Amino acid sequence: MTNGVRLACDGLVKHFGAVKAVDGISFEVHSGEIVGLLGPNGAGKTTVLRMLAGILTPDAGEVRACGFDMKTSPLEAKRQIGFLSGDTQLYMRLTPREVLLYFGELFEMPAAQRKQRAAELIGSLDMQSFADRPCETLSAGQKQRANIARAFLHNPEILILDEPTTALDILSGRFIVDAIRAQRDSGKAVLFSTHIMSEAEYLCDRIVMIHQGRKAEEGAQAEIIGRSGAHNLTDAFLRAIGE
Amino acid sequence: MRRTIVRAIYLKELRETLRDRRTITFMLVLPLLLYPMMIIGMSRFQQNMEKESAQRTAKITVWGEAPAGLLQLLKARNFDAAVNLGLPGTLGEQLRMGEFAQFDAYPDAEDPDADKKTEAMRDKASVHPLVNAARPLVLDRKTDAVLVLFPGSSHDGKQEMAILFDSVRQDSRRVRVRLGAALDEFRKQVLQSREQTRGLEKGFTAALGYEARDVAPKLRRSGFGVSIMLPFVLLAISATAGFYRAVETTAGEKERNTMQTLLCAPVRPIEIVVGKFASIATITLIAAAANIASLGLTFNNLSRQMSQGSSLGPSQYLLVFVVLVPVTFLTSALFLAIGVFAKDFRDGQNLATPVMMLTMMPAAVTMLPGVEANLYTVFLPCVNVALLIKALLVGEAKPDFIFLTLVSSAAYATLALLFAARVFERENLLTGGKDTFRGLFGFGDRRREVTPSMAFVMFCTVLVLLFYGTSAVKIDIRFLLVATQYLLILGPVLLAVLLMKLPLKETLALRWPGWQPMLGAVMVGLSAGAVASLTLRLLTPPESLAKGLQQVMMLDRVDIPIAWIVFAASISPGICEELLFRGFIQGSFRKLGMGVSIVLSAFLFAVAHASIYRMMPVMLLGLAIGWLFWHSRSVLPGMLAHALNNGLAVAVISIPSIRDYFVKNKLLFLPLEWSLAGMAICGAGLWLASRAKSSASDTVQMGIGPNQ
Repeated sequence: MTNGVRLACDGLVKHFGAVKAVDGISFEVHSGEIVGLLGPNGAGKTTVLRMLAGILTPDAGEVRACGFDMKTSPLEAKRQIGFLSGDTQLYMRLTPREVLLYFGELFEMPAAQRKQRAAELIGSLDMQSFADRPCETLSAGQKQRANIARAFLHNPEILILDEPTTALDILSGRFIVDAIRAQRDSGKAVLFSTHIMSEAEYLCDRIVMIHQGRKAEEGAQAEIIGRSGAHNLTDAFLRAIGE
Repeated sequence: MRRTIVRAIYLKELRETLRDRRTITFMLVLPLLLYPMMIIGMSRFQQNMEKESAQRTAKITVWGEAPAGLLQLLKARNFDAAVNLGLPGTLGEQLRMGEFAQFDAYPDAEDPDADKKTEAMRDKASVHPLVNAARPLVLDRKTDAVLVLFPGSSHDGKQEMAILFDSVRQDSRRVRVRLGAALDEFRKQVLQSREQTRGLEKGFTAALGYEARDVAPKLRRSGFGVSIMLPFVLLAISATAGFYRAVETTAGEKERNTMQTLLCAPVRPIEIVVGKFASIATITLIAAAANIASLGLTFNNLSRQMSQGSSLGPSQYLLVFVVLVPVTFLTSALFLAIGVFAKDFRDGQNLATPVMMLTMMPAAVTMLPGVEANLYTVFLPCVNVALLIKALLVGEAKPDFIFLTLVSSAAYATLALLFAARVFERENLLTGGKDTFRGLFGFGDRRREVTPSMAFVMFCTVLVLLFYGTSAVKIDIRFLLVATQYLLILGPVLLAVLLMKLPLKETLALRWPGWQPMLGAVMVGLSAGAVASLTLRLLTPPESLAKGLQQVMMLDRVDIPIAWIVFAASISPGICEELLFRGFIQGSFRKLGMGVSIVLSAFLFAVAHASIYRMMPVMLLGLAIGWLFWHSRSVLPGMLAHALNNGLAVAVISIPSIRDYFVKNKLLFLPLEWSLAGMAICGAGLWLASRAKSSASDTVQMGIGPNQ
């Protein structure tokens, strides 16, 4: 399934009361690529990502994760996805290792496998020094590493990351960004939302821009910049949203 | 629902809780320390005070001229009596001259205006010159009470006296009681001496004497003290112990965004609800157990110390704990559901606090003396449990009360859990958004069928309606019975079908099942009673129940024609109860499979008959009819069997020759051979009905069956 479609959404619509937060969004994410979802605050990025992760049900449209329909086989679809958002905290009275083992159980990993996988991630994400301390004692960067480990735990084919570097210092932010690149290089499909343009430029193979719940632009960075006649991604973004 | 996932969520929640010092303190440390400190400490304090005050010399002031011997008696009884202390000269002169008359006696407690009259007399006394003069002395603690002796009596007449005291100060109150006792003693001495001087027989003036003795056994007496406070305390603890955890695990998780992490794991909402609910219920039950244990030990220890009768045994406390389980489930599920509505922890506390108060306040009523469990209270959530605990502790809980309280509490708990499950299915709420009432309860959804939760809500509604409806309305039994069936049982069913715009025939399975199931139904209807009679051998009902049943069947009324009895007690239940229990309820359980749907609806059918003694026979009938319904996909065979079964019971008791046979042979239940023959016929009927299954499902498959 190299370069195959891993995550696809088609005609997603979501209302919150009378407000139409998402209006007919469609795009795909292939294996081995990072797609950036860009948009100003309130554009509907988080809502789109939550629908893709199966946390919210769309009013119309469909989501498929590795071929599994989120509506008809939600459990199978969710097994394919690792979700992480910038403002997600951990269970404060558990240690990162316990959090990993807990989610391992929820993903129905056998006991031995989840222990081994937790140890593996603690090693590769350099978490040994705080893996057995309660999460409430950890720094923001340490917490986000534990969160990343939690999202990577079941080795999902798809990663959905909602502004994962928010509130992190440069060092911690870079660590996470590098971890995401490593995932892409190992063939994972990554959907990534951010409002930091430099991060998008550095990370994303393709970009989907949304504005007021609708898709405003889609394509490789160079294509978007070329089409807009701007010099960089920031200007292209501003033009796409009509500023 | 996967057990491993529920278990994982449950254990994670428990682990987090056990690491939370606040919950642990509240759950275990507080009860273990609080009660011994509060109860033993307070009773020691009170004992010491009483001891001190008993040993203390009572300071009194005597105004006026004391009759011979009174001052000696007072001195002997440890009164320090000062004469005319603080009595102003002019007032003393007026008293001596007889210008003041005795105060009027307070009215009898029987007097309907007693309170009003007493209050008026108090107002009048408060401006009396003697009272005005005594007030500063008593209030400034110069004396505990003033004894006023009114003059004007001859040697053989009546000496009028008044005790002026301060009802707010304990010392003064006690001295008033002691002084009263001393004066009674003095009166006895005077009377005896008068009898002697007049040469009258001893006791002539007393005329009569009486003593009172308590008939309450030791267990009841020792339970009484605990029963006043324990029910409320336990309910309050049950409500509050789960409160923090429920808000933390819902609103708290939303606030930290961990809820969305949980939702993107391959986990079903129902698994999250059950896991979280189980952990909250566990915490609450541990807290309740710790409270019962600590309070029980403290009370028992105390009553042993004070040697006040025997203590309550562990079995009483265990029963109390068991009764508490459903109410714990109710509060846990309710807080869990409400917590989801909150944006954050603080918001959750604000939302859940009124609910907590609502559960606790009615329970506080049970602390009032005289409030006891009765047939009206068994269906009031929380209050019923508080009253049952109260009754258990004084040893007067009746099996039917226990049964009805447990059943209704379990029903409320299930409703609350269904509500919580419904709330957890609303993703908007879980991810921090809002939801409408309409959306939450699915009023907006155009459902074309009854769900098991709807059926359960219907069951609870009918149960409560039946209960209060039949006890509140006072009309002739012949109409009451019919009205109950059509208005309280069938009415809500039809109303629901109408309001939800459900297809009537399909929802209530009104279809012709063919002759075979109907023949089977006749066999079941004629034999089920004989089979059910077997269960009476195991649990013989009390005579009151048999009488009640006879009343329900109107057999004590010769004025009612037999045709009406058959219509009211046989045909009507056959129609109305079957449409509810089989058509509406069992129909909605169909997806749960044959075994579950038959057993569950038969159980609800049995519970609705509101008696532990009728549970087994009614359950058996329900199982047989449920079987007929499952296989025939029609409510008609059940109606026939039910009506025949009831009709047969009416016939057995109302046809003189049959009744005489039973009376003559002193038969409480049918002979065993009859029951065995009944079993054979019933089994054959059920077999016959199930044979018709293939034709019924063929019809459905062909697309012409109503359930398709």
